[in-house]
Amino acid sequence: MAKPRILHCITVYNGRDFVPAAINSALRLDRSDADIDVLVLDDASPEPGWSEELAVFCRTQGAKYYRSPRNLGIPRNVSLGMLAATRHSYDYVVISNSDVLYPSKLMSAMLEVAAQPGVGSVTAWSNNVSIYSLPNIDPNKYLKNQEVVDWLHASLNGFFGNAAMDIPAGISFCIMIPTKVVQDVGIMDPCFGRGYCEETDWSLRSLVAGYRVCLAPGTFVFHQGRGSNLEAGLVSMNATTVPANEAIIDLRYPQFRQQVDAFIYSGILARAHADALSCVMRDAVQQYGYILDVGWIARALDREEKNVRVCLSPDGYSNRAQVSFRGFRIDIPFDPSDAGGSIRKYFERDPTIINVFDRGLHADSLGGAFATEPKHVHVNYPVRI
Amino acid sequence: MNTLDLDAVSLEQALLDFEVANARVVDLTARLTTLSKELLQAKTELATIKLKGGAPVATAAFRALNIGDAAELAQLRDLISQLRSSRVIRVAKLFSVKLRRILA
Repeated sequence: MAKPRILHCITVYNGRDFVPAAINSALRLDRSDADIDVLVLDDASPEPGWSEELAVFCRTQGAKYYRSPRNLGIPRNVSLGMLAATRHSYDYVVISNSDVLYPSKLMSAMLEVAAQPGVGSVTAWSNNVSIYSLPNIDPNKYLKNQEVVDWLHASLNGFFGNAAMDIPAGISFCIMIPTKVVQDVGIMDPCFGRGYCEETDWSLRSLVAGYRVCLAPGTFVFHQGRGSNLEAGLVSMNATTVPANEAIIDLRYPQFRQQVDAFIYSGILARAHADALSCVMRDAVQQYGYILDVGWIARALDREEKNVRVCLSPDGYSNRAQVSFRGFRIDIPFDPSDAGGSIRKYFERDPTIINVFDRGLHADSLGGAFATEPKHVHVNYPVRI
Repeated sequence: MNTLDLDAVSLEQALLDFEVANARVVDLTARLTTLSKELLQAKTELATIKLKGGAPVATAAFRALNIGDAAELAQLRDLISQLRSSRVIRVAKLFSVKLRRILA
């Protein structure tokens, strides 16, 4: 059976600092389950010399390149990708921003979700994907790394597999759409001008046409966020949307905001977040081990948080322990009367290092709970006021 | 420079977008004028209701605002007719030339 053909479109507007990394990341996508062509859609970037540089870069790296003769705006540039995919007989089109890093196995995972009955679009999971974002305190610091993205994707895919989470609307930072759905639902509406909310409109149109709008929790794509839109002056530094375009959505779909609220309050997303973080932490512990810190406040001793750190309060009364890894945070249940047993139960192994930063009941009792000898790292005065 | 030529696709779609945009302008203009008329009418009705509700009953302002009310006018005419036909007025007219002139 022939492999499905995917046209992976990366929409570009300036972005000299981050676009090459995204293209390189796309070009190293694993092609064992699909034939993938990468198309860079340069929306007439005005930065002097950038388009020429990008064209050469694409040619040498093996990506297709097209520069619009004049600026189209995001919706029409995205539509161009959708039309190109349908005209050139691709099975799927992927619409993606240019401030992203993809895991190598992304397409295999996305295809498994897209192949499920009735699925009209599949949005990848990410640190920055509107309300669905996997929370991280500083993604650009901790996650902007190809190896980290590959690892996170593998971890989440191991837990969630080909699960499809039905969501109120897709996000076109990285969305896969079967071309037959494009032919049925159509392309982006140019009334959204320079962009924002066009994919919400498209998603809701696809829902009306009877298709499912899904998120693939078994994927992870790093998304810096708002890169091109800031460049274009489409949104200001502190804004996250375009009010005029939201007004169109409110006019066309008066129930949409309530549907989003209902989705949020359903608890599906919160459960997915908790499961994802728990899975990432456990996998990281199995691979790298973990450090147990006893102190009032978690210490960021390694700036990139490459190690999993479990922070226990030294007083022995808290029934939660905070776990941190690469900007992710999760509280895990903890039994103060059985420190070693409860931590061991969660991670199924002992810590590699135990640091005692602050004195307290726990600090004194830990010696016997684990085989590892606690290392006392007291400072001149307590960290917590 | 381009390694994939999408000029034809882009141009074709631009022309389609242009057609849709024109149709939308016509449609929006029609809706705008209709809604403007409705808005003007609604504003007038609202102002009238506000004025009517704001003037105390039995004041000159209230009577002036309600003078155009045909039902009230008919009611007043009926009242005058009843007064004219009352026994007191008929007896009084027998003795007062002035009253006869007024009611003539």
